[in-house]
Amino acid sequence: MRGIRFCLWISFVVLLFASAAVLLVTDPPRAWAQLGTPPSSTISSSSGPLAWDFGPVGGGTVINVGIQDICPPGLCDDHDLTVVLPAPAATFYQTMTAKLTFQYTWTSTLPTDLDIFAISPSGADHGPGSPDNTSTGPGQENLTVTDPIDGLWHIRSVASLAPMPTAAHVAVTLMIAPRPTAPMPPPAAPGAPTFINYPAPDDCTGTQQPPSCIQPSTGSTTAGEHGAGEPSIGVDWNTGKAFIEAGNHTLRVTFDDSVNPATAFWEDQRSLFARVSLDPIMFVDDGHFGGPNRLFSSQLILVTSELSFSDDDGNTWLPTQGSGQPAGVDHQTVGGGPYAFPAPLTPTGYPHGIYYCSQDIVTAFCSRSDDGGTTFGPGVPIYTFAHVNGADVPIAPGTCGGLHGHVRVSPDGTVYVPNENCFDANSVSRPGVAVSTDSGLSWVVRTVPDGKSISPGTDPSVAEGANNTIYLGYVNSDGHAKIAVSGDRGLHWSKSKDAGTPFGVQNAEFAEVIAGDDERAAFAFLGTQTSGDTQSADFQGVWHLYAAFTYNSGLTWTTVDATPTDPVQRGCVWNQGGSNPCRNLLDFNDITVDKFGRVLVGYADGCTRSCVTDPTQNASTGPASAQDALATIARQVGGRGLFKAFDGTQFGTQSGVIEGHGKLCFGDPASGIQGDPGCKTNN
Amino acid sequence: MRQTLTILPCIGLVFASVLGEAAPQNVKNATGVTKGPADACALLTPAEIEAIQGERVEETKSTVQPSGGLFAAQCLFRTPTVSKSVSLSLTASDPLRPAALTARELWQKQFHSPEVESDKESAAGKYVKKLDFERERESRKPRPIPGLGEEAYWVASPVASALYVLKREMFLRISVGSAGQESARMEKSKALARAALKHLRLVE
Repeated sequence: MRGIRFCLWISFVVLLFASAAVLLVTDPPRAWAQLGTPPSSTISSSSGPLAWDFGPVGGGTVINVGIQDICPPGLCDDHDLTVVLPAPAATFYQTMTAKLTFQYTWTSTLPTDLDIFAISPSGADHGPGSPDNTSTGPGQENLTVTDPIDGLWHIRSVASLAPMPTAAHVAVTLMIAPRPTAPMPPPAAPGAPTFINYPAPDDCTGTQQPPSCIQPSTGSTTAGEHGAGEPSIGVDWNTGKAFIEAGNHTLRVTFDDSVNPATAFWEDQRSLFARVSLDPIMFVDDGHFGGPNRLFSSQLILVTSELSFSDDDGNTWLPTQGSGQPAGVDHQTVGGGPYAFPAPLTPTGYPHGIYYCSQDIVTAFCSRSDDGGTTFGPGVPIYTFAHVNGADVPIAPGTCGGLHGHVRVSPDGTVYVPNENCFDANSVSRPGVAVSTDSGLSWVVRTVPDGKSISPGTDPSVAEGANNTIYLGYVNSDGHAKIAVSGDRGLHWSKSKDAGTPFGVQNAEFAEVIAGDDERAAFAFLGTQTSGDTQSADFQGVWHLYAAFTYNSGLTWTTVDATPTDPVQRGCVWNQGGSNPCRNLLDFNDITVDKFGRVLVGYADGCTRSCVTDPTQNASTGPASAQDALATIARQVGGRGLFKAFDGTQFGTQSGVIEGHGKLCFGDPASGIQGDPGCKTNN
Repeated sequence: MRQTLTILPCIGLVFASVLGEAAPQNVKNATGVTKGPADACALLTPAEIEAIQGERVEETKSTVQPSGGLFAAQCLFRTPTVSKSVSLSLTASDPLRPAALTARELWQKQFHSPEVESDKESAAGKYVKKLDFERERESRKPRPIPGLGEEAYWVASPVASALYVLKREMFLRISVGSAGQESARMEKSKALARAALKHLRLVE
């Protein structure tokens, strides 16, 4: 009897699955089912709790294929809920916060999994609720939407697995409260690091001439400086020229420190081999660890990949042997540094190994060049991953999923490739690094034991101090900007520190780390004090660029807001690929240090012109000023840098001494070292 | 299920055979309680590398990443010119942990999953329209290579393309450096794959 019942149940499920499949592949219905009672309602902060019953839904799709957006009858039931706020969301949520909470319940006699989804007026999906599991008897999911926007919401009951059509009940509340005041940021203590932001000027038009504009190179994309998502940055330590690359532009920036504040002259020095690119990557093998300041530009274009280099700051470029050849799956990163002992005999005498790391179908790999990037060795797997439900996931301890961050090399020749999503020995997904101690011949994966991967992920970043201490900055599963330190190539890690705490940062993106002296490092990230789902079109957070500095091997961090009066983004920061309106910034920023220890952060500014002062603008809805990606460099002008040798010299310019009348112009507020109160910094 | 049960001892035998040729560096102990993983360096000889790449093998570097239900045994055949070196990896199901993901299942996920063969969906399950160039990138599929193993694919890269070959419950990945044109690299990889498959047959 039990067997017969099981067979019937299986048959029923198969039938319903087949029905669902037919619904999905045939023309979807133009209207969704509204079988519940009542079919619509209105909730406000004064209306009190509401309740309604959903009509029965059955069958299921098990995995989420977006059925909630179509809501076909039988599989899904819709309830229209109008949310009324005391004022429009954009202004209301500046001082207030709200929670829209659904308690969704049902009863079943067979194993059943129903899901509740809330689809906002702007089309953002919230859900399913939690716990999302299969149960027999009473079932329940709870769903909370933080800061729901006003307007018409579609609340949907969806059968994920329901052998028998099952009705459900919902109780909903809307609670509003004053927005908690974020912790007051520490006062700008004398000596704290300060930054000046240098946005790229627009292309020259008409009779315009540089330096107020950029003269585009032949073949450059028009207004390419506004398409600078996921930029790379580097500095030639010999000439001091900075480079920021995004799209098919390699922009060269010459700072003039003879005036205060320094001026910037922007030039388009794109490689002739660069075309409109999927993954533009630039790397300067600078003088930090003895590099000859060779500038690499890597572009993955529609059918081939181009890798070219320049030894004269982008005036002339040479292609590598890989250029022009077919490219398959890729997400490349280029880096370089000293060889591990014993260094191989190299054919050209180029002092560093250059590494090209990328993804292919089953593995991520790194390939080494011993001739300064002209030719490369075989691709050596650094870990294995697998596609599951559209995402690259780690499959076992020692493997990683998703996309990796930028390859970096320490002075002792250890090569690191950071990844946000690696399995530790207990199959827990954590941020980590693929590590090679033999110049890329073999690799192991090491994870940060107190870090947890966030989904969807954002690249972590690793940097090496002068004595091989490594700093790994990442976004933790709670959205916070965390950084951990290791003195033994990732075998052991310090307890991770939350670099956003002084500013109450609740969500972070785009971790970027650079180190200098062994005990000094800087950690830049985009952060917002707003909690909630940063991937939602409804997200109202205002993002700034923060930079945290340590001068004591990560024991304490001094965090500053590098863009205190100019948000980098308003609204969501999409990091799941595709063409979402909130993907204007793409996937990462970049950071570097010049020979004086000055930190430079290359970032795309998503909020320009009228967006800067208009809180109603949002990346998800526009206008264009809220969806920009303007190439911008945040350049450190005050505080201590990453090289002790230049403390007190204002990065070699002596301007701090002049401004401070000989007084101390640098400090480390987090560890109690104050700059002299009489000293002014350049901002 | 019956087929799986039949195949598993075969995989074990293959591994045991490869182990027999492998250097003992990865054998945990002599009791046989935990048997060490395969040595991918046993799948090609220095002479075979030299014949195809034109340089002698200066060093072999063998590593194994035990991955739950899989072994990923790698060998780097280093030649004096790094761009003529060869990387070979053998991914196979772990005979000691047969319940986990098999190499064939991993192959299927990577080369035949719906995500690879059609438009991807986002992690949230919602259809996302791709930018044209991203769509273009995703349309560039691994290139099937007939006549090698049960199935083979060429995955192109500007600096380090790779040839994947499926054989029973394991697959090979062979990558040569960027010296030479893409077509030449592919032919070299195919020749190396044939040699490696021959060694696998010898030890089966």
